[in-house]
Amino acid sequence: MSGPPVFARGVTGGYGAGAVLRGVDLEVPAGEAHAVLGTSGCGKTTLLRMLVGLLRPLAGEIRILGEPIHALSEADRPRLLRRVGLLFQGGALFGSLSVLENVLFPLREHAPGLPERALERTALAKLEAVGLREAASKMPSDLSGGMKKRVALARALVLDPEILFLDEPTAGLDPVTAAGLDALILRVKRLWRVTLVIVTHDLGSARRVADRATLLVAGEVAASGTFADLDASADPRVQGFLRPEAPSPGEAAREPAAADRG
Amino acid sequence: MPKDFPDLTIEADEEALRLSGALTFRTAPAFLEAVRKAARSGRGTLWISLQGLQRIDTAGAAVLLEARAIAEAAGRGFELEQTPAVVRDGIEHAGIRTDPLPRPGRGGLRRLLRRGLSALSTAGDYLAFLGYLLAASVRAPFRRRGFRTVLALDQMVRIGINASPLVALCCGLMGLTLALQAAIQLRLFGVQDYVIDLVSMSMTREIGPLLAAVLVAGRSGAAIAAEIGTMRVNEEIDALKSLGVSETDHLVIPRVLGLLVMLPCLTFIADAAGIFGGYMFCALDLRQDPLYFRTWLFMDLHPQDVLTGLSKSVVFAGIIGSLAAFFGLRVKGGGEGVGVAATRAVVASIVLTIVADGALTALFYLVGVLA
Repeated sequence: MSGPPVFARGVTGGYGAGAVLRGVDLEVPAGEAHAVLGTSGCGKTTLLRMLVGLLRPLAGEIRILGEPIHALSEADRPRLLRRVGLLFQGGALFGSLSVLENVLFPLREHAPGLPERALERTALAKLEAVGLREAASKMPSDLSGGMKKRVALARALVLDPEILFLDEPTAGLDPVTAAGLDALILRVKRLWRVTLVIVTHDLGSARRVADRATLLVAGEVAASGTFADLDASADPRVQGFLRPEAPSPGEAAREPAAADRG
Repeated sequence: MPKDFPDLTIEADEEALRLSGALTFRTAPAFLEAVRKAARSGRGTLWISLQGLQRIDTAGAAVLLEARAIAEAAGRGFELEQTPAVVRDGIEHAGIRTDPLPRPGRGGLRRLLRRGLSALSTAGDYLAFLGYLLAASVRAPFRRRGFRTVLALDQMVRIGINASPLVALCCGLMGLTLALQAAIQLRLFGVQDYVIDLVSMSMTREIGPLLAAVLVAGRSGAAIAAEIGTMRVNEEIDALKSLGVSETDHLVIPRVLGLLVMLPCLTFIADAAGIFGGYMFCALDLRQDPLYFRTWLFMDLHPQDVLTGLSKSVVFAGIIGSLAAFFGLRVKGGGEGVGVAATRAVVASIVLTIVADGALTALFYLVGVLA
């Protein structure tokens, strides 16, 4: 394979006429876990939707596993997409299908020639990997938020993708469940050597899971590198995201005066 | 065109299959086909050499178990050999279990029994809800802010007035069709004048109340179940409760009351439209005089024909309203649950309406109201 599995250069675009993203570059080498960080509305999810081909950029180049995903024909794109897994923010489980049927769904679509027993064994192995083998016959409506995410992870992994995109994996989860999901994601990366792209505003989770990170601020890349690089950055936009509780220099100067008046 | 996974190459003879490339969900069917062919053509142990394999995925590991089953079914042994470390890791990490697959209970009788019990328990819950609703309705007017007139009036407009053109149209057409069908038969005996009797009695006693109820169950019953169900999913009902507002007072009683008042009105419209439809046929096809039709109608149509129909419609309204609220309040899960609740409300309403219609007709017959 030529080049990194995830490659974006100068990506510009958004919804309608307005550009949410402006000249975004992203490069994720094979086997790396890369976090795309930013506050709500900075364009993280827009970038993710462009990377997986759900939204066409106005300008720029995106290559997934070396293929220009937006230039592929409708017939060719599924061949690329079955090498890519996507974990949606809410899980996006099919409510009318049982947990097992949800995990079987990609297999039934893409591996029609396999015997039913092999399909079921594969799906059950993935459910076991996320610790939910016992829940196979349940319906999604019977599951908690954390369990839904884990089933969705099993579904995203069932075709053993080379890249896994995760949209806010820890959103809406309590810290303990979120840490459990992070541990699971790390295990997935270690066992199956999957390249991970994690879109999140949860800095703690990103530090636990990711090797490197890209920080988006108002649709532009503010910083990219290891967390040590980001911590060392003098850019106030970066520090504003990493340490929102720290007062900006201007506010710090004003504060003692306020205390004096009190 | 995107490059796919590396392909699987299989060199086969009677004793061994030598694999190279990738054994994945894409290439596994070809592998199984080769195993089938090799298993049939030779004897002794079937060796699978994995030396040239560069990649195996979870489905590929699961398929190795299938291959073993195929070989053993053909009376042959099955061995893997020269497994590279990357493949060994792949198989290990796939975590495929060899124990038998869990089978959901296939016992048809047990499943039938469980369904029956579940239906019985739902019926029990419904009866309890009906009792609670009756008690709450009796209490509501005496409680401060217990009875919500504006909400009830709003429901009357939505359930009754907005539905009247639909009911009139459907029942008018029904009366016309009924007259046409009746005329074909009665003409054989030369008594086509009785078309008026047939249409007016069947419309007022049976078809009017029933058709109006079915239309309202489909239109308003489904809407009520979906509305209340959506509110349940969005935690709006919990919000009401947390504000100290009873969901029965605020949501259920106004809707049921709206139905109780408006379904008899709609039934009256249905009766009138049906008879008018019948008259249209008599006037156009049988060339009957309007005066003749009216005289005949008032001579043979008695008040109890209309009143029994209207009294039935009050019962139907109670059934439709209470079932819609019942299923709406029981919604579980998300949008899926709302759809299920609306469907159940409509189906249960129509079935129970028809059952109640039979029971009431039998009652009227026994009491001697129906002449």
